[in-house]
Amino acid sequence: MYAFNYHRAKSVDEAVKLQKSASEGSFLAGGHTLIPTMKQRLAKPSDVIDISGLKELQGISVAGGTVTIGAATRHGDVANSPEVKKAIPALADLAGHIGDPQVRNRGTIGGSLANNDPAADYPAAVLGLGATVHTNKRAIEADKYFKGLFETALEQGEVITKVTFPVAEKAAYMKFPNPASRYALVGVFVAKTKGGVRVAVTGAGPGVFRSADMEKALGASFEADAVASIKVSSKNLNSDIHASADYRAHLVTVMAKRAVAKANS
Amino acid sequence: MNVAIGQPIRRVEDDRLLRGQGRFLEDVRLAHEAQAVVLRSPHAHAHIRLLDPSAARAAPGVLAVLTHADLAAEGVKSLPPMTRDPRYEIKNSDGSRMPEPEHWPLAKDKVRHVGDPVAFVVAETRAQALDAAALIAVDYDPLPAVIDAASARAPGAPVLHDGAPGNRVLEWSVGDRKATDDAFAKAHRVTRLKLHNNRLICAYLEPRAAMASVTGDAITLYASGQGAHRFRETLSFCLGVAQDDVRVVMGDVGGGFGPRGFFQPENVLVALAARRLGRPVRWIGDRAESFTTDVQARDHAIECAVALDANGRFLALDVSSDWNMGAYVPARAVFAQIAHMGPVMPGAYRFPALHFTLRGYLTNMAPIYALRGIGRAEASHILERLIEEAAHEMKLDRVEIRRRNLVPASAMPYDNKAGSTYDSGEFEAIMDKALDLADWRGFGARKAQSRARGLLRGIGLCNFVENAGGAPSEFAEVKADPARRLDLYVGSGPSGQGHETVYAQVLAAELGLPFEDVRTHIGDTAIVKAGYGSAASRSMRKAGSAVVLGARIMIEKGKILAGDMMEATPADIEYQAGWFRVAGTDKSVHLYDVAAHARAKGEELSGAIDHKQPEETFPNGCQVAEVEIDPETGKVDLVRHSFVNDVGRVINPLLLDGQLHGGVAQGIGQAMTERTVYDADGQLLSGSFMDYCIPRADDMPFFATAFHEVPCAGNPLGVKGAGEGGTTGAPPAILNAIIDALRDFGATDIDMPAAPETVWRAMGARRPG
Ligand SMILES: Cc1cc2nc3c(=O)[nH]c(=O)nc-3n(C[C@H](O)[C@H](O)[C@H](O)COP(=O)(O)OP(=O)(O)OC[C@H]3O[C@@H](n4cnc5c(N)ncnc54)[C@H](O)[C@@H]3O)c2cc1C
Repeated sequence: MYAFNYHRAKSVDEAVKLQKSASEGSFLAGGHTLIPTMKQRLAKPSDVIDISGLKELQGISVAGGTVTIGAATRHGDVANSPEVKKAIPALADLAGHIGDPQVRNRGTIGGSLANNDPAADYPAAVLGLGATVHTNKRAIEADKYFKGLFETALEQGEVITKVTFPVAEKAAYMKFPNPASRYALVGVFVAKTKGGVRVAVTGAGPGVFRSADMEKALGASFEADAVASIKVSSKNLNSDIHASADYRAHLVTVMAKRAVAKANS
Repeated sequence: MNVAIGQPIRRVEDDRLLRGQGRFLEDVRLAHEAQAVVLRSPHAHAHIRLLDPSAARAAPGVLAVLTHADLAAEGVKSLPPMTRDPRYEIKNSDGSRMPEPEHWPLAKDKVRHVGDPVAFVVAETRAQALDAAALIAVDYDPLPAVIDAASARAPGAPVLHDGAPGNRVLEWSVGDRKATDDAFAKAHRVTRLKLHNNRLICAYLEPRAAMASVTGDAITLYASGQGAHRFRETLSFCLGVAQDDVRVVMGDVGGGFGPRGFFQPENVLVALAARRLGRPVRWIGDRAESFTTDVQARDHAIECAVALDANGRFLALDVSSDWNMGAYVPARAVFAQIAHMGPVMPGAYRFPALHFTLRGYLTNMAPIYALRGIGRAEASHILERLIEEAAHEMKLDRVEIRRRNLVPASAMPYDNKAGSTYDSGEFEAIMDKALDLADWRGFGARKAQSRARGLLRGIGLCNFVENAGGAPSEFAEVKADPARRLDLYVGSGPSGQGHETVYAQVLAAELGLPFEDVRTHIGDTAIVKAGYGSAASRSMRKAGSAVVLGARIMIEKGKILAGDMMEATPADIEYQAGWFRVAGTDKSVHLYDVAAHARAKGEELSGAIDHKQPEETFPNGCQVAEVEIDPETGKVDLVRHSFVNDVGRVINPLLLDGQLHGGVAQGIGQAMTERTVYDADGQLLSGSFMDYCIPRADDMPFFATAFHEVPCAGNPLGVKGAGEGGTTGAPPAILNAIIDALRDFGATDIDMPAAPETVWRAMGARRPG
């Protein structure tokens, strides 16, 4: 780790100001991504601005068919929230399968979305449910938010404040964990929403993506069989020491099928 | 508390360890410490053209920057491979001696694996040392990397060490070539396999570290290892100082498993830097360094074959292995590999003829060393996979083919033709016990239940024999203190096993005194006079025996002193449960009063022994694994695992279960999750826990274990050794279970680790989806 200045921001506005005046300012939420990279000297922020305690970034509420989750809400709180479990059980279920209890007690939804790890779970829910990412500046639709490997629509100094999820008619997430990291080797989120069926895939490619073929098939019949024979091309999928692109492509179909079955059960 | 051998006493060390009061290396703080970091090679293989530490030396807070030039100036010696040390020397089969490649604590002219140490930077703070290390100018001239045995021996391959042409370290054989060839020529059937026994990263919980302080000529090394006295010997050798000038202190050690027995280069560096600076120097490695620079394990490319007659009786075994040894040859690595692989190659089975060849090659990877089950794990992998396929090919029942070939108990002592004479063993009885424990007969019903849930199910077994060996002698000293306590000094210490508990149990049981009276002292060469350390499942066998014998020596001495006190001849004095009594009278004195009497005379009531016990013992057992496989993903769940073990006499069944469970867990890792991956350039791709999969609690079923005690005649406790059976037997049992589940898909082999994609691919064209 290199030396840095630590600030505990009192408001989002102050956090943004502190970030702007720093030569290289980083927001700190759960720290589960930022701190390890700093320890390995891979990140060298001059200033770390802690937003994890900000009241305005906390909390879960459900109203008018929308679940709202503050950006600094921890995975464990989402997983255990009776409101979320009732409104969008698939979202609570997904949060409950992120990492291990220690990770869930620190990691936040805002941190996860800002980081946009290609194997992270939340991006699948955000894209799969057609959620909206709210920042101190604007509201960004899920379809416009994710830009591939660790890339998002966020600009320098922009803070995620909350995420709003429309309640779906049916939804489920199936994750095939990487045995080592327990991140998603492949994760598929399916949702039957007012605007149609959405299928979001994480872990398999350089970033979360939707499967148009599957959405179409499920739009016609929201049954596991509808996707069971849809093969995903392995062309743009990841190949690494954990899994080949072919295997990942195969898993997308299997996880999609199982997710639909789970959503229907 | 009065205790007996065989009693499940709880670990006394746990209270301390669970309350965070353990004293691991990072917990040791010395006044005026300086902090060190190691600059390591980013290349797998390169010449060092230029190494300029001047900018680093001038950086803020920097106290010293050592390079190989400084080692040379101080006359430091290379770490000893010991392939030519008479205590450990094994010659090549052609009679030639093995090379002794140099292994410098800091690279001389050349780096040979990623992470090879290049410079040692000492500063006031760790951050300053890290900053300074980044200022060291190193000009590397990269060479092609050699990353497996086949390419290491290929003509024209880059040579790692000038002293080892063709990168060859050894070629060693055991058995009868001609008899084996003849048996194969007339066999009814021959089953052949090519196997890879996968390279493992040990990943003990406490990362490597070292600390040293120097006062005058006296050097104190605070180290984390598997034997303080061995480290003292090596450090004094490398620095060219007397052993008496070196003290090695080992506190709690966070996991050893064999690799911690390796004397790491940093031990020399902290001592040298402390001597130069006149202040303590502390080096705490991080996990990333552990991954690239801890010694690793296994890595054998194996070709093997079994010849059988028409009744499925074994005629011969033929095995050859190309061992990928990595960049250096750590002390005793060759000895440990050969001594534990060749002599147990036939395991629990009769082979009228056999031949085994081991060839070892240097590559640009982390050096290989002993890891729990070394040699025996490879042998059982070979044997049990061969037997499984032979049964399949001959359409014989898998249990029956084993039964026909097991060495019967009536054949003991048994010469296995590979250099071992098994003193005892009831292999068939143990197999039957294990099959019962596993409910082998009820498997069909469980398989049907799995099928109803869309899952495949398989069951597999493995019989194994290990040779527990290790250095021949171990030290123990028992002292009775008039303050009514027993001080016990033992040369072999724990890295988590619970030695403090079992040594005290053995001593208290031997003397018939309360368990709480015993204070065990381990791990400090200034306090314990001699020792070797833990390795090869030897501590209870050798150190435990020394404790018993030390106590008996003390009692004999006590009889003389008691005779003195009671005016009787020592021959008339009996000892029982703390009391010396004149036979046939009511005259008696207590041991602690005798100790006070001794003290008053300026003596000690004590007994010490450096007990030499060179014979090996042969722990053995049978494991049965049962798996469920998701055919759509290839994910394997180990749903049942049963294990019957003959470790000789059981001292403490609770701690023994801990050893067995831990060993099986490590075997599960090798079989199912642990894959060490280097790319073609010699970069480690599985360099973190996010990429290298150590099995977790939820990867494991509840284990069913049982003991089958066949006491060993070769030592006073009757023990055989318990540390390594789990790791030795689990992988083949699991592989055989997976293959059993996949038979309908035509699978006949599976690589370790059987990761989901590997299993999915093994299902081949017939897999679903
Ligand atoms: C062992 C381990 C296992 C894990 N397993 C999983 C898993 O299975 N699935 C999974 O999805 N994730 C997993 N994670 C990731 C974890 O869930 C965290 O979500 C993730 O690390 C980021 O969240 P954080 O709150 O810790 O962010 P931080 O580390 O605090 O921040 C990450 C980045 O986001 C920025 N940031 C944080 N909050 C905001 C905000 N509100 N607005 C703008 N920028 C912000 C920071 O500046 C930083 O650049 C794992 C992590 C670990 C350590």
